[in-house]
Amino acid sequence: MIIVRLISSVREARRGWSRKQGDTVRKRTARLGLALLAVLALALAGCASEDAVDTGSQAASSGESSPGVTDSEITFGMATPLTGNASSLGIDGQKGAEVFIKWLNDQGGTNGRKWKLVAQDDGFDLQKKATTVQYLIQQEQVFGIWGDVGSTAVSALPLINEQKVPYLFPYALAKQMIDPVQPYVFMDVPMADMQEHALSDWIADNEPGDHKIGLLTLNSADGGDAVSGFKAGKAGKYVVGEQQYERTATSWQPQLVALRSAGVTDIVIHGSDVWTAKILTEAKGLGMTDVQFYGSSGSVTPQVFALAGDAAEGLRAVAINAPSTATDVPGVKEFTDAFAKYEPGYKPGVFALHSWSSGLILAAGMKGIQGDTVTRDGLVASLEKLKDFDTKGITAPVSFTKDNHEGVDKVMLVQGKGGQWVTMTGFIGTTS
Amino acid sequence: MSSFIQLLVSGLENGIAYGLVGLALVLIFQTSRALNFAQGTMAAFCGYVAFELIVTRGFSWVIGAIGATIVGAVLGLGVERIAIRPLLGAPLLSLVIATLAIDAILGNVTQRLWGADVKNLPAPMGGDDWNVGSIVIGRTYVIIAIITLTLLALIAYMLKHTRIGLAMRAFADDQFAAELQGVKPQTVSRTVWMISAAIGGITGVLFGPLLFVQLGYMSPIFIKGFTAAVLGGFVSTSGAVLGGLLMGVLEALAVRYTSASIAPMLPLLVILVALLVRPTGVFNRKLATRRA
Repeated sequence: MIIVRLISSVREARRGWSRKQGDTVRKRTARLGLALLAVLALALAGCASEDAVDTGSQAASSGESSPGVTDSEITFGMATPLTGNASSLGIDGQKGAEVFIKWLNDQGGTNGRKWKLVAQDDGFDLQKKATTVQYLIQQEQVFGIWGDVGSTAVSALPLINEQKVPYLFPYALAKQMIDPVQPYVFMDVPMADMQEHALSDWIADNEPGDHKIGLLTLNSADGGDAVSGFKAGKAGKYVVGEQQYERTATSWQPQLVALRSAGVTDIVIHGSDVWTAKILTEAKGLGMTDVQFYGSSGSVTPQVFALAGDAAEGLRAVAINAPSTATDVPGVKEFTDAFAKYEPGYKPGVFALHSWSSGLILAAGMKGIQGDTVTRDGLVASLEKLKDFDTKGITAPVSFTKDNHEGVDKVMLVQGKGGQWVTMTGFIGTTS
Repeated sequence: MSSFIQLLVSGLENGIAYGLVGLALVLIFQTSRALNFAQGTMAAFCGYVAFELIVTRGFSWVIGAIGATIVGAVLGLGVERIAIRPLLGAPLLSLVIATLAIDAILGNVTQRLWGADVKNLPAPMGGDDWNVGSIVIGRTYVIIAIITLTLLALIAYMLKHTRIGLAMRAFADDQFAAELQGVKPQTVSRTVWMISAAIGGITGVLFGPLLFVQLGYMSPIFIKGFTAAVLGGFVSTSGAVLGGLLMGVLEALAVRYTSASIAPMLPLLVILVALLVRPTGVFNRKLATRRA
């Protein structure tokens, strides 16, 4: 009845508009009617999409497999930057996942099915991440979201929790991903605060003497976590200056000058390989050659040497996995051989290696699903039983419990020598 | 004291770069009344062209820069012909949307041609930066300053002493009256877009060594250049350069003398206050006087 009255008021308004005298009362009524119609349409669309999700979860609870699972295939989605200035990271991660899937499918896949990946571009944008994940879940009906790159992952958390879809091993260092524990989110990278805490402890334990440490971090959630993590460690007492930079920064000279005037002996950088390379280049230009620089895990790529050249020599960094060129590590050799077979000519980096190692963990989780049906809740239960899973030396052993979805709490230190990353330590944790 | 001077130098170095971008934006706005939101992507495209010529094909830096600038001019001509000229006289929003579309399309084309990897473009002059006492002056920034000041002088000469410059000024003042006097809008529009895009091209080449050539690397510079143009009131090329210098210095001082959370906002807050006091632009004295 209400809809009929709204529509008739719109029709009446249109007749009113065709008359030469403007009847403002009718125009107002018509506009109100159109607005209410639009709101009603949106509400109905929302109910429809909720119904679609409800259908999926109802199917799972009745003994059928979850969406994204057919008799022959399991489909995973990936929302990652494929365009824009973070696209080299996302594309590297996508390549790693695709090669892993080819390698796994050649061995028969898991659960009697082969894997498939649907990757979509999120442009490294917070809003776009959420809509891309929503598209993958509702339109592509994927089993889970796997291997995204970037702390934009936090914007997908409400949707993931609401629709109960596994969010598997995003390369995101924001603490919100694990604190509080998100029931459907599983990580395999130590958070930024843990990484920097371990670095802080290592510096204090292994580099005796007076230090004046400056922190130079990206203005972001994980940047803030990195600062608090470093200051919580044993070398936190040596911090004499903190500077931040924005994603849109075009020069780091003011920050470096500020830290230099504080008399720093060490600078800990939190940022990607490109930003780290720029900072090192500018620091070299400013004559800061006697400062020891430390990079974060995002800087441990071959690209930092290609971009910074000599300025990266001697750079130390926290790594969450073995360097992608360390073929003496069995897991890295297997990864390198797979790329030579399935993507010859492509030089995989750290994000491809992360996709590979997280693929190993995911495959183990899938194989551990009890029963004949493949469900999202089954995967969650299987992963929560995983203890000391060996990624063949790529990462520290991986363990999950119901109350801990962080997976890994150890890192290693690496150093730039002769244009390559070499390991300085095995996997280490915090000591304070 | 030396830290303060170094900060000023760093701020002026960045500011002159913002001014160069702002100059190109003002040039287009003066005549087309269009805001070219594709300027950053067009400049980045030229940076990739320079990489192709200098690194992949082995040409000298000067040849690569000239080649990239020519490509920029051709790109400007193409954009003007396809997207802007059909919309001459249309509302500003239509022109904005057209340039946003060009921005998106060109970004995708760039990625398809050169991929997503970051490229290292060599600097125009090798060697270390210059030291004056304990103050470091970047070589590339000195070249940017020389080019910016040269362009300012050339543009000023062109506007005052050439037929096309006179036509551009007439068109900027009153498009209708200029057309009645025989000024062809297509000629003015074409010339302005070619010059502005060429300036964008050389900017992309100069910033390549500083920011590394990668997708979207010129976007932050474009945003700051836009702010510089706003400070100049969007009618003065020299105002845009001065606005850029002001922004660069404010940024540098904010980082040093305020907290980490305030520093990114402070320059923009100052600019907001300045525009509230002088809405026609901080450095736009002539227009304020004329309209008064």
